[in-house]
Amino acid sequence: MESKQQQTSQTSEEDALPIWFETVMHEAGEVERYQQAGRHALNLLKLQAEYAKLPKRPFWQPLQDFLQKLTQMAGVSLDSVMQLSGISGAARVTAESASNWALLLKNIGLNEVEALFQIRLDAAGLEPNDMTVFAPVRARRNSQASDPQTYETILQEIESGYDESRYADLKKIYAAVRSSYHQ
Amino acid sequence: MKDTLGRDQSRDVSQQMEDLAQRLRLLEPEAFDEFSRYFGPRLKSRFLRLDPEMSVSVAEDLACEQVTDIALKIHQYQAGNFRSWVYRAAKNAFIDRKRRERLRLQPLSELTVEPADEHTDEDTEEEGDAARQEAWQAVRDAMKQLSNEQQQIVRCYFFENNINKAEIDRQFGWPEGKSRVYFKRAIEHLKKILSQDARITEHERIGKLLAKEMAAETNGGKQRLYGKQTTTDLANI
Repeated sequence: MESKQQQTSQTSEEDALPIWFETVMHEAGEVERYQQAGRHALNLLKLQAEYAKLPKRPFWQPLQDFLQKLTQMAGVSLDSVMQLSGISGAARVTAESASNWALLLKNIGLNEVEALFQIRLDAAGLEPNDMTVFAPVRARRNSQASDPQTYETILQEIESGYDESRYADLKKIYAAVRSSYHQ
Repeated sequence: MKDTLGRDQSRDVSQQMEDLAQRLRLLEPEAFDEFSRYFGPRLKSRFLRLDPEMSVSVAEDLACEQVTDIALKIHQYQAGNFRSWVYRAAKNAFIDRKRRERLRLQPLSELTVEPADEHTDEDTEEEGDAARQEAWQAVRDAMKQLSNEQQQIVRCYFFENNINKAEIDRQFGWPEGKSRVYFKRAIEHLKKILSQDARITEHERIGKLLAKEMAAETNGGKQRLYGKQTTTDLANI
């Protein structure tokens, strides 16, 4: 017990610093923290400036491209997909509204599309890797006797067709679709 | 004679501020450093004046937050009085915070901050700030003489909210106790360098403390005035 007390006493004495030194280091630390806060703002502003340089596109545009590719590959028109999905004429998706797109996705199988995005986002390191997202893709692919390679092909298309600048768009779309879907 | 922005005092301060705002707009990294070093301590002082009950650490956190937030709004600033614009934005953030916290609300008239240029304590602030900046620069220079590991641990311990040494060992994946060894060596080195640096010895407040402690140390080691305790060698009394 005694030696433990002695040890504690030695340790605290070792840790004790002269007041002048504590003071100077504390003041330096304070200035350093303000400076870090300023640099944080600079980094955010730089990011904003970079983002502003990206070509301006409606955020649903890449999604529309993707869906058109999907329907072409499946050998059906976008109209047919909407018809099969039970979307009425009034609610017909014309790319004006994200919620309509979300409705379409829900009807044609949102999980699959989500999974495709998720795979890409994972590959881009934007979301935590989750192997379970592959399950609905496999299930859908297996059920599509007419074209078992469809999803595989789409995946490859996306893998090769999207560059870094598109990931930001994809992430936005993914967030918008998810939020519309869960409303 | 240089001011805290490292410029000639003879130049008009408001013009310097306009220049600073312009350089911030151009995303000049040095401008962000100057902005934060200049306004950080001043915002903290203002928050403490607005609410004397606010703790120093809360005021410092709020000042850090405002340094980031105000710099992010730089594109909203239109030429005029940059310093007043910054203080007004900070004051609004302070009032918003008070409202959010649902703390005792002072009448808005009491919370109104005088325009910066009319502050009588601005000169005192400038002097204190210059000394602090010098001391900070002295610490930065001294740290360059440490090894990488020593710099990392000093940075974590003093600059990043006093992370304790066990936590530092864990963060760097070092065996337990390694950071303590680095820390001890780093501190000895730093103390030696800083205690001989004119920027520290001439910093009025720190210089006095240093002189007092060094006198105590050299007085036959009878009294050691160390941070959290005062030890006395009873055998020598």
